Formats: sequence, C-alpha cells, structure tokens
Amino acid sequence: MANPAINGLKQHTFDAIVVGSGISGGWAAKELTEKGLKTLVLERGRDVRHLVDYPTMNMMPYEFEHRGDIPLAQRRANPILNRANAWQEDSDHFFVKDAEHPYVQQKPFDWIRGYQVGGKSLIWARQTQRWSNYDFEGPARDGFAVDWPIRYEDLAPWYSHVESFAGISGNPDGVAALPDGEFLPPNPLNAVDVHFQNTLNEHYENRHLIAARFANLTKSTPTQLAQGRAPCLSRRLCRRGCPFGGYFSSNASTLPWAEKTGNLTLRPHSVVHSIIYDERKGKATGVRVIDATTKKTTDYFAAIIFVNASAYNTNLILLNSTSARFPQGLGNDNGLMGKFAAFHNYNAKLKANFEGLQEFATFGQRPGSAYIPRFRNLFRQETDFLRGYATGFSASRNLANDTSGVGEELKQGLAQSKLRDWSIGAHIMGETIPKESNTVSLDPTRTDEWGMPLLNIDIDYDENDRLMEKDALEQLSEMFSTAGFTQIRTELKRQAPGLDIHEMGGVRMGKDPKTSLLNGWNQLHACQNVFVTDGACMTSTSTQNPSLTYMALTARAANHAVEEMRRGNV
Amino acid sequence: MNRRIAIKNMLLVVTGAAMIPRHLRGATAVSIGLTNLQVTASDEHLLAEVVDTLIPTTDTLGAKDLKVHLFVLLMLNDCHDKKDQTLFLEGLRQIDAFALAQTGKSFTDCDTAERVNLLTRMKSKEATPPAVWTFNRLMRSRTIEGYNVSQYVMTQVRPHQMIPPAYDGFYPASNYTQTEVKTHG
Repeated sequence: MANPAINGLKQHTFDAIVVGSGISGGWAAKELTEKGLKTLVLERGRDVRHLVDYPTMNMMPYEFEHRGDIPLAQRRANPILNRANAWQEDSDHFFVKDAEHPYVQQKPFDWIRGYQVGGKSLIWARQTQRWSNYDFEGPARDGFAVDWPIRYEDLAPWYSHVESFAGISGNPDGVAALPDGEFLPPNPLNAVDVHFQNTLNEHYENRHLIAARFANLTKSTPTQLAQGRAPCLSRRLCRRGCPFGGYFSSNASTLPWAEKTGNLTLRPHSVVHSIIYDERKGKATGVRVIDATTKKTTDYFAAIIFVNASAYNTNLILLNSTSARFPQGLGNDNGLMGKFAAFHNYNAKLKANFEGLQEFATFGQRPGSAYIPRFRNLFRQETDFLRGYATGFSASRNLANDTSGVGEELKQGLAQSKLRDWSIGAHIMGETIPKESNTVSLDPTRTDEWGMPLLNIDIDYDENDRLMEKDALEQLSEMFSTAGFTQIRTELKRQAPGLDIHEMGGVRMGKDPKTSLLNGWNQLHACQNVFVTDGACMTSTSTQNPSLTYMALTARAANHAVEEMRRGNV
Repeated sequence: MNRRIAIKNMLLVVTGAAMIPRHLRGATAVSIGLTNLQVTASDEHLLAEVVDTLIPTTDTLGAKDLKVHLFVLLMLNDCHDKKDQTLFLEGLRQIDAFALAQTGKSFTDCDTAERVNLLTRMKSKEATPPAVWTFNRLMRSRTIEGYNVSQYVMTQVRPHQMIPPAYDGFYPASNYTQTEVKTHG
C-alpha cells in the first residue's frame, strides 16, 4: 500500500477518511471500502502487516534473551507501561513507551497505548460481550449522564454483523443481562466452572456463570476462511500476533479485507493535527496530517470523516480542531467535549482454593475463561450504590514442579510434576458513572514532538466505586463460600484508572445537542459528516468489555454514512 | 569410564554446542558484557560450581553444562536492582567463608554431598549470613528458570509444545499419575 503522491489536490482527495486503524478504525475501513468508497486510513504509528510484522510469533521461550522478562532499565524508564500485564519481552514492540508520547496526569491515570497499524487490536484481551437494554437504559433509569439515543434493538443486527465476520465464540446462555449472538462453539468450561455454575443456579435467583464470549476462533466458518484465518490453537500467545489469524485483529481481518476491495489507501506515520472545517460549506472537508517522520504538514480531503483515534486521542484531535465557527473544538458548542470521561473498575480481586472434585483436573489450554454477568441492581435498584459489576472467573488444576530440593533431588522434582489442588481466581469489571469532573483536555502550554498539545487527564474514582468494590468482595466471598471454596483471599488493588484499558467518553452520544456531542448515528450534532465511533462516543460504560460495541456502532454508522452520502445529506 | 561422565561427554560433543544459546556460546561473564555487575573470573568459576551443585549432570546435562551460570549473571545484570546485585555478589563471595565454617574447606574443595548440604543449609534464613541467604534465593530461582527454559530441556528432556493439547476441563486426575507428565504442554 503505497503512500499517496504528495502533489496534487486530486491525489489528496478521497471519498472517506478514517483516523485510526485500531479495532473500530479497521471496521470503518472495511465497511466504507466494501460500499465502494475510496478510503484513506491514517495511522500515527508504523505499519504492521499480518504475519510479516509479528517478529516473535513463532519464537520458543528460550529464544528470548531474558526469557520473557522486561529488563529493569526499561521498566524504570516506563513506570506507566510497566503496570500493563501484556507488556512482556515478546510483545514489547506493540506498546507505546512512556517517554515517546508524554501526557499530563492531574491525578494518576495509566494510559496504555499501541501506536501502530492495528492499534491495540493486536494486544487486546479479546472478550466480546454484547450490551443489553439494562445498559442502554441505565442512565435514564438511574438518573446519571444522559439517555442513550439508541437501544439494544438498534444495535442488535450490527452486533450480529460484526460477530459473524470477526468470529466470536460463545454459548446461547439466555441470560437477560447479556444477549446471545452469532456464536461459534463456546470455550469449554471445566469441572469447577460447572460446579460454581450449579451452585449459583441453586442458591441465587439471577447469578449465572457462563463461558465468556471471546474473539478467538473455536472454528473457522467460510467467512473466516475467506480472510485466511484458521482456528485458534490455544497457544495463549495472542499478544505476539497470531500465525493462524486465530483471534480477531484489524491486521488479520478488517484491514486486509478492505485492501482487497482496491479502495483502501493506508498511510502510516500520519499524526492527525485536526479536522478541517469549511465555514462556507458548513461541514468538515478534510484532515490535516503531520508526517511523523518528516514533520511536514499535508491536508487530505474527503466527504465523510470517521474519527477512531482511540477514545482520548479522538477527544484530543477534536478539541484541537478549532475554527471561527468552533473555537472550543469541532462540534463543541456546549463545551462538554472532553467531559464525562469514564472507565472500568478492576480493583476487586479474589483468590481461593478448592479441595473438592479431586477426581478431575485440567489438561491443555483454552483461550478464554468463565464470566459472571452483572447481577447487582440489574432489574431494580437494590443497593446504596448505582449500577454493578461483571466478574471474570477462572479455575484450574494443573501440574506443578517441586522446586524445593538441591542437587539430584531438585532435578527429580523438576522432572516429576505433581497435581496441586484447584486454584481459583476472580476479578470484577465495574461500571463507573461518567461525571462532568472526569475530564480530558488540551494542556494550555505543553506540546509534543509534533507540536500537538499534550493531553491533560483528570480522572478519578468516586464514592460509588468504593461502595461497589466493597459489595463485590462481600458478594463474591459469600458465593465462593457457598460453593465450598476455601482459603478465600480478597484484594483491593487500588490501581489507577486507565489500567483497565477501557477508557471511554468525552464525545458522548445523546438525543439533545445541548447535552451531548453525537447523535444516534454517531455524527457530531453540529458537523454531521464527522463520525465518532470509538470509545469516545460512549455515554455510559456498562460492565461489558467495550470493543464489540465499538465494532457494532462503527459498522452501523459507516453504513448510515454511505446511505446519507448517496442521498446527498452529508 | 563413569557412565555419567561418558554420557555427558557424548552429549556435549554431539549436541551440547547447539543446546547453548547463541549469545552464550563460548562466552564468559566478561565476554557477555555485563555493565552493572562487576564479575571476576573467579566469581564466575565459583558460580558455575554452585549451579552445578544445584542442578547437577546426571544422565542428562546439568546447569553448568548448559552455561546457566552465565544466564544467572545476565539476569542479575539486566533485570535486578542495585540492592539485589550487591547482595548477590557479596553472598557469592562469602560462600567460601561459609563453607569453611561448616566443613573446614572451600566450596570447590568440598565433595558433592558436602556441597549439597551447604546449599540446603543456605535455604534457612537463621543458619545463613544475610548476603549468602539472598544470594541463594536469587541464584536458585534464576538457575531453575535458566535450566527449565533452556533449549536443551525444552527440546531434549521435556519437549515444549508451542501448540498445547486440546483443553479438557474434566480430565481424570488419575491420568496424570499414569501418563508421562513430562510431555504436558
């Protein structure tokens, strides 16, 4: 994919421009190019081509100089990144280093980023749960944020659309909080998963354990085979990039699909400065790009623009897109852009043992684990805090070596593995309430290497989060006890917001231009040929891993954009 | 010739060189360019004897054969803080005094049984000078790691499967004692 020639307005003009190539930008590219639009995808980082640019994908553990560890000098140079689990010697090249892209923390916020083609879709955790109307109706029912302009029924066909293409494993569980979808066979549960599932069914009215829905192919349908993607083989090395295309990423799936249409132009090393607004036409006409290497500025033009730069970078670009008409940033007439940012609370964790089910163990590996959908305050308000939490659950019973000896005894201990008891782990994903005081904004003075204002992040937990964490530890401890689990250890992590890597909001959807930035089709109310479909658009956060919802919103908005373009409305 | 030594020699001649990571082949601590850890030739020699005691040559290669002592030094140099590095070297250099106090001999002059006793004693915080205790803790974990995650062990002793067996969440626990657990991915 060659860069477009630098001279000539015509060569700088496309039907559509997509800013960002991550999980939502990739979907915008796929949908727009499939509908025949000449589409320019801008990516601030380097190109990463599927298979070609996964240097570690087939390396054996002993081929890594530090056997997977990140050297201390690198850890110290990257105190923020150092807190991200997936940053290891084999995935180092897919993570932004702290010093390369500084930002301002008014309060501690761990902003984990992947600046390359494919973005964080290369290194994501791959859980893909649908939202339900308990999520979309949440703000209106519980009186926070603003009402979502859409309901589950608006998004359901688009969930199906993206699930069928991406390949999502799951079981039709019939759980109200988590609608069923177009599923490949589910990830298998184990003996303790099923024991806990039965315990919850017997002792609680609305608490369910299910196989989490994952974007790993438990089999390849013709749709995935057409993308050149084979089933996942449970290597659990997704963060390196998969030699089989066994998990969904922009690189393995949407971008090569878009490229095949002949309508895609991908321009890496393109830092987007701003969206260009034409006052005479009353709409956006293009995008101003700073070449990351040469620092040269070039304008590109298109009829429609998708901003998918990752939640907070999308805020940054729009806030930086000032004009006489929009002095506070593109579409920011009400001054709410950058406000009502939110995230997921992962603070509450539990560990336990189980001495039962000694007749069973686990063998081999699976790419996913189990999941307990939100049960708190689901049908009605029942606690002193708003909303609730989903829970990731995993149990295993593997072999362990005896590493205690010395000499021949140790050597024997390393060779003869023994079965441990079952070990159990759980963590919550708590919904946080978007608040006006949780903001991202442009730093008034400091800029980066490319002359872009630094992002100023001012986001914190609140009392609702504290009450929810406490309740989660109490409820899950009780559920664990009921199941007969022993040695239950609870932990409140107190990690900074951001480490969940589920940052959301700032450019929220809503019905009313006075209180929101985007309409029900993800168009800026005040500049309707600009669409925002990444995490920035989220009105509330739900408890579900958000990527699947970004994908569905993007596909829906892209198809609407094409229709509106053909009607002459944008 | 002693069977063990014969096997060791054969293995070293036939496959040994290929089993040692490229960057450690023919290397010494000095030649792998440690910048944070000031290691002398005698430090390196002593550490080689210590890891040889911890994971000895039997009918398979041991930690010294696999140059795991150089891996331990590399990890101490690259992945540990100043405090660990200082205590590690201090502890290493106190080993001969520790051995002398226990056996009346230097570590290298001790026979295998005496060396095993010394390393066993070093696991007790009460019975060991602090630096020696810390040295032993760090040496043990990095030696076991370096041995387990060596090309030799992962290809010749317990072949590592990049693609694990299909998942079974109801695997009969009794199968584990009957099967060769070595091959478990």
